[in-house]
Amino acid sequence: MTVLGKERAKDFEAIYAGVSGLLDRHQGDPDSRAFNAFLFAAKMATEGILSALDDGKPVISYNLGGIPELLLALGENENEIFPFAMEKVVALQSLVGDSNYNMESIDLAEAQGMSSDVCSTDRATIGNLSKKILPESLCSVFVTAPCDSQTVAAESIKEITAKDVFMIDIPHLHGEREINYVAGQLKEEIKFLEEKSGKKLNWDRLKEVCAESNRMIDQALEWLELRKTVPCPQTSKMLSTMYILLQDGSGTKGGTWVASEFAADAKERVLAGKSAAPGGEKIRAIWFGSPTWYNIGFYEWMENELGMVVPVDMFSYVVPEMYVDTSTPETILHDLARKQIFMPMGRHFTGAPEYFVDDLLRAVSDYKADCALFAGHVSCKHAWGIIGLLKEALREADVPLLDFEFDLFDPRITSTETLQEQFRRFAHDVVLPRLNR
Amino acid sequence: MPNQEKVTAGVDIGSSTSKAVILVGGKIASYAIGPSSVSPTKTAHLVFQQALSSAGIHREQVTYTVGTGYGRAKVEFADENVSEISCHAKGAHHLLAEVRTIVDVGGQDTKAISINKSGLVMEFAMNDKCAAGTGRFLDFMARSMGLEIKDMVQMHFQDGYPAMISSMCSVFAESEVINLINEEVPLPSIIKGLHKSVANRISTLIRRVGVENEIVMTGGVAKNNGVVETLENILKCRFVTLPGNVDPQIIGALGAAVIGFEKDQSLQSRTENAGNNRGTQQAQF
Repeated sequence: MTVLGKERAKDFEAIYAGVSGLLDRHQGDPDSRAFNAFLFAAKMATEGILSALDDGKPVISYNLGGIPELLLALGENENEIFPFAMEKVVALQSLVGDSNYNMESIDLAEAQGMSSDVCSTDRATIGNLSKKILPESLCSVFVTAPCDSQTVAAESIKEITAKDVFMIDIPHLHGEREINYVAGQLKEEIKFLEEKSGKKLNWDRLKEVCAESNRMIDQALEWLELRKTVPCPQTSKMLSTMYILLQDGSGTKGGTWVASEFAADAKERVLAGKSAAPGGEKIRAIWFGSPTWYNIGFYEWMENELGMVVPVDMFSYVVPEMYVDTSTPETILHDLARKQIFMPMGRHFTGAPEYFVDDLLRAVSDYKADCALFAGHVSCKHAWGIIGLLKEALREADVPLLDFEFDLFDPRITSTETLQEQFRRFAHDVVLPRLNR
Repeated sequence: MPNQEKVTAGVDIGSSTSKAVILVGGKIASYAIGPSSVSPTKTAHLVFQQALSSAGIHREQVTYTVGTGYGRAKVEFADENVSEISCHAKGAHHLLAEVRTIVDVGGQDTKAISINKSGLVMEFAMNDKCAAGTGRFLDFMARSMGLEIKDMVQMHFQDGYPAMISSMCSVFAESEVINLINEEVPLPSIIKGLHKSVANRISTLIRRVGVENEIVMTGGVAKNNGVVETLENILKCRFVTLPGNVDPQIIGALGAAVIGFEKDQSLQSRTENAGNNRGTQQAQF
């Protein structure tokens, strides 16, 4: 089948125009340095898709939860393969403010029999595949993280594209035994990729790619350290972009540059004593769960109206376990496996409840938060499944919790207005009286 | 004037009924409950005036008034508005310091509120976009059966098993009730079934915040012993009784008045401190 066509190019050009327009609008805004860097990266990523399509460059797709390092090291020369994070289009459509586009894709997937229980990110991606707007791949690489929806999506993608899908099983626990289990699968993945692409893995390049990934982690950790400052220096909406950066930009100079801009912006703002909340920071909240991608402006509303800032969320929870020791091919595969397991969201949703609960409690303590927000994406059944344990742990720690139901890409589940009302009540009835603010 | 004589008021404008409570020195002096009208502003004036008259107090004597409830923004004479969640928590904690869970079932919404030992709200859950599990649901059903709510309460305690009402939605439940009547199912059974439906809905909300003793029920539906008994059986617990025969329907207004009392005290204390500080400064310089 061919998925190359004018319809697809038109869609990507619309995203390109949208991202470029946003960038032009924010270009002169000194408060938007970090976000501009992300927009610039989104623009470059869209350009990358368009030129891959124009040049007929071989594409290998990977899913939400995956990382691109192995794909970036395929072939003798740089950029012989275009690694394509399939769900990126859904995020980019939301970024440019076109929720209708994603809703149409979601509906299309459902009309074709995809269960409405499957994550909307995957439903929208399946819809996009059916619309034939995604670049045709030689094959796809999937991980069973961050959630069970990935398994369903992989099967559907295999059927729609009639191309092979390599599936990496992410185990329930995250110890050394499990890391070695994933490292073993990465070896199999390399064989699969070499066979499908006809290109050998370049181990020297993989070393360079992983070193570049490490530089991005350096920047991300520094950025998070700066965000611990009270008041939080930088707008909360930046957090949700970190996951896309990790997924799409790891191992690339562009990705490291964006992360360094995040950190530089945060540092600049800390030194200038700037706060993410224009009227003053009143509440520090840890947001665990999916972000409100369908309306990324929601975070600014929180900051402006409630003085509520989010210094860290689940999507941005980068940890030192994501570093890769580049000494030998064995250490590289071992640590890439560990990075894969410890990716934010995947680490929290694929595994024992403690990974989610403990990280949240640690974040509350490290970032001096006043409360926690359980952002319950309707498809995250694994997350909703531990809500009782989470409530119990937070109650014991005397941390107020707001749990709310919504869909990260589909505003039809919970509207912005309904969320706002829930946040207002939580702020005014629960958190502020405790803080006497 | 000493604090004990301070007069504060709470006015709760609900969707079905409106309530006002007058506190003198932090203690209930009077209260009034009346139907809400299409004009929340007029309703607020009316119910406030009734409570004032009942206590023999002039409006000018009230030092701080707090508005709450669905129509709180329309209590134009209030010094401030506070949400009904905070007010129910405050009112219940004021009367019963041991209470940790409050379930308020009003005309339009149902709230389950978890509070800590200081009376601060820890968590809440509410249904505010559906009549299921609210007083309005029971009103609809009473109307379908040509009964008054008080008749339903009385009939609940007559013999009979609860009929199966499978739908929580008031529209569908009404159809079910009509079918049951046509099938000549005895009214007490239908009423028990309806109370079970409401109690099931309320219990899911309470479980969201966690069932922690002591539990108290507030709001108009708390006066319906049929619902109270059914809910207690579902939750396998007993609700604590409000002391001194306080009407459970006024807890929101009471909480508002208590918040007003605390605010008034705090304002007075700040004024006195400012005065004292000025005095100190004058003495020093």
